[in-house]
Amino acid sequence: MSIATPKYLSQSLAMKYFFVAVVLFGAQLVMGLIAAYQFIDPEFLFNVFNFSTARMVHINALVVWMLYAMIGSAYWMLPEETGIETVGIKLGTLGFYVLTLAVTVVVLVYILVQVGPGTEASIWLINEGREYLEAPRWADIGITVVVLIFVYNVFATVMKGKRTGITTVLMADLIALAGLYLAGMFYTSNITMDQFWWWWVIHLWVEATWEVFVGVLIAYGLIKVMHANRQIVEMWLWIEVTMLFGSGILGMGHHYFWIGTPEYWWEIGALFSALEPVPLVGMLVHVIYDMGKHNGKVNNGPAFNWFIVNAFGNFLGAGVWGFMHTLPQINIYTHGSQFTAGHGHLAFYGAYATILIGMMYVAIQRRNGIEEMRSTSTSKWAVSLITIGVLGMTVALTLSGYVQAFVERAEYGATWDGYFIAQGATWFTQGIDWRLAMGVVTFIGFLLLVKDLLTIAKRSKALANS
Amino acid sequence: MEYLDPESFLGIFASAAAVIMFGAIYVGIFTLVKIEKIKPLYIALAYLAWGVQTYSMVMLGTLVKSDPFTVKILVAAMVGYLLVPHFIYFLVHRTHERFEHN
Amino acid sequence: MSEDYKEPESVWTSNRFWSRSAGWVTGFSAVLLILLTMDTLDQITIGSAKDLENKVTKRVPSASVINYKVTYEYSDVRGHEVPVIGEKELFFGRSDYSEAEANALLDKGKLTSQAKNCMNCHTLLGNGAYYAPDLTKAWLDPAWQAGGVMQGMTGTTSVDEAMSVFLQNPDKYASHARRMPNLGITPEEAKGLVAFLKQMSSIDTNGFPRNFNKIQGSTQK
Ligand code: HEM
Ligand code: HEM
Ligand SMILES: [Fe+2]
Repeated sequence: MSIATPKYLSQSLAMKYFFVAVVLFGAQLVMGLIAAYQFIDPEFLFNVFNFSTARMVHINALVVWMLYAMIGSAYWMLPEETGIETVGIKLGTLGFYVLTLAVTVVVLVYILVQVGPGTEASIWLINEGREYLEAPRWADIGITVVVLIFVYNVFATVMKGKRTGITTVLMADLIALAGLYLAGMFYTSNITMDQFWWWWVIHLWVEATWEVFVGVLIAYGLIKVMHANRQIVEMWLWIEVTMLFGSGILGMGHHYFWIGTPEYWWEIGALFSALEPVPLVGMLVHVIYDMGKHNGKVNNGPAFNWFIVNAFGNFLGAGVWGFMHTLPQINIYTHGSQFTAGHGHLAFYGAYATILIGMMYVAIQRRNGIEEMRSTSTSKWAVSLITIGVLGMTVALTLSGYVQAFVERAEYGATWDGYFIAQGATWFTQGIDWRLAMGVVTFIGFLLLVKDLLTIAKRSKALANS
Repeated sequence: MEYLDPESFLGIFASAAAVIMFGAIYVGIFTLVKIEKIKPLYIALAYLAWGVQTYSMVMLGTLVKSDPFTVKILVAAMVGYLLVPHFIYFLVHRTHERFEHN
Repeated sequence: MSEDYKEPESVWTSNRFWSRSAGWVTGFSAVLLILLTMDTLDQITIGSAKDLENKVTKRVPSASVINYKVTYEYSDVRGHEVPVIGEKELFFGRSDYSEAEANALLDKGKLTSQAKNCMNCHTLLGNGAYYAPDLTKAWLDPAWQAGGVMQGMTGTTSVDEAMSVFLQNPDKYASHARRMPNLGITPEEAKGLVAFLKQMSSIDTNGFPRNFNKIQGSTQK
């Protein structure tokens, strides 16, 4: 059986989504470097391009590139799973151009206009000023429309074509994921109410619907890259969905400890979020299991490596780092500190960046009909440097966060003064310096990744012909 | 909620990390034995990892000043965790029999 | 688990069983979340001026709280600090803001906090960025009180005035090397922001931040 697939339009569209995702990933890292440097030299671009602007673009680009890569992955898998061209693909392609135009305008406004006066108009036109959901309201509406087209594409295709466990989960998950975005689209002057719904989007994305999406990608990847048995993989997928939603939905309580919400969230948040690492252990073991069963025989080296980093990264970043600060007794000392930032970096990277990059390699291989795509030395350097870089940043930030918990929170009582005393502590600033250094390592890895993504198909083909 | 001793912060973060890490080591080794990648003897290491995990959990519970009842619940939860991989491999075994041996 | 034991239709290995379990568990969790959400929404709905007059404690007090003194005190019952709303207190020279006026100020302040992107440097209720101090209880912070560094620097004699002057030109009144940038905040926006900060300090955050003020030795038991 050849690995080459017919030239589905759905898969051409997927490649477009992947391309923009990588561009935005690059923008994200550049902004991260600026923000990290401003921690060390606060006068850098002060009053010109402030920390808040750099950080906003950093995390917004992060969310958007991941959504792009997720949409791309879905358009990629659909025809292979259903056996037919995606229904309404022309409309989907139009949606891509509309979305990309909107994203470009939004980013330009972020960078050039930055902030507006305190009126509703600013929230509609410039930025909404809510972490991760900064996109102005006009763009929210645009995004919703494009995502609805996408969900329609998936839904109609699954209904018409062959129905598999993978597509069933994918479809249900995407509807939930898109629906949740609506919870973040209204204004209220009640900050507690604001954050209550804000977490519905953020938490129920990253700790429920996005994780299930990852489950889908792992299932697909194990079948395609390792030729794992579909029956078993799909059974695992259902078990994982059960565990992920069973713990993740009510695990949201861990964000309701201190924002004005009632005390009962202490117990609910502690109990259910403490269970959240269990499915992540499950996913890790699942990959080990299939690797062992199939004796590591894989047809796509770089994708395989990224899938392995995903299994460990998800487990470490979300599971270990998440659990370390999820009990309310501990969280009151670490809430909103660099510890949180450390966890955020390793979790987003480990759980999402890795597998989405893996999917890009899968797409490149199959698009070019390469029977066996081996890692190049560039692929290996890229995955190693990025992983070492993010892990290094995480460890550095954890150190800084520890100092904050100790000095700012426990010793000086979380005041304005306490904050700055901790920020000046030697160990804290060491952590901040190392974060920048490791950020540079990450960035070099990223450049190699881009090079590899652009050249690996050609090299593999040349290798096959020689 | 009790105030924690800053001196116990390090122990708290370390034991919390250990709970999850040893939890994974336990099921990881268990899996490798089940798929016959390593000798059955190593199963002892798996249970040892579970023991360390349980110890870390009790330590974590104590350091964050949980009341004794909560600590008992935690130990009960650990017994549950001990059983989970057995159940999972029972399933996987059955599934393999159904789908790969016919 | 004997070798040749076969049970072709065992429920455990049927995807139907597991997909149904996933459905039930997800549905059950979602329903529980929705029920809890309904109760929580009830408890976090903003209070009214009447509540304040009648000393009814709300987790999120009305914007009219700007007419009152707010403190953060240790509660033996709760086991941590809680905001306490006291006597009337002047806010920019007045303590008779009507509920509508107070709401308008809060609204202006909250909108400004979003338009100026405060949350991408500071944390609010502990969420946001970690480049600048948490603003949850900024209104109560010793740095802003009489004798604190901010009143001295801005040449003012009250917390509201100090905050307002600072917010309009933060880069001129820097207490540390890491300065707050000039975001073009107008006097009107500054007043709204101060109202927003004061109201936020009156929200019952279950004792976050912990041992706030310990450095001054005041409220910790
Ligand atoms: C892939 C999955 C995950 C991702 C991408 C993720 C990401 C994040 C991010 C970015 C934040 C900071 C939000 C902010 O800016 O305020 C956060 C906070 C948090 N996460 Fe996760 N997380 C994941 C899984 C988990 C898990 C499994 C747990 C628990 C076991 C957990 C526990 C927490 C807690 C307790 C906080 C609040 C931190 C604070 O109080 O400041 N996370 N997460
Ligand atoms: C060149 C590498 C990077 C650098 C230098 C960098 C730097 C930064 C900085 C300075 C912040 C602001 C933290 C604060 O508010 O104090 C930040 C936030 C964040 N970054 Fe990065 N970053 C990098 C790469 C990444 C990657 C690869 C990811 C994920 C895939 C990521 C995800 C995030 C997230 C989720 C936040 C928000 C964290 C929170 O609020 O808790 N960053 N980053
Ligand atoms: Fe969460």
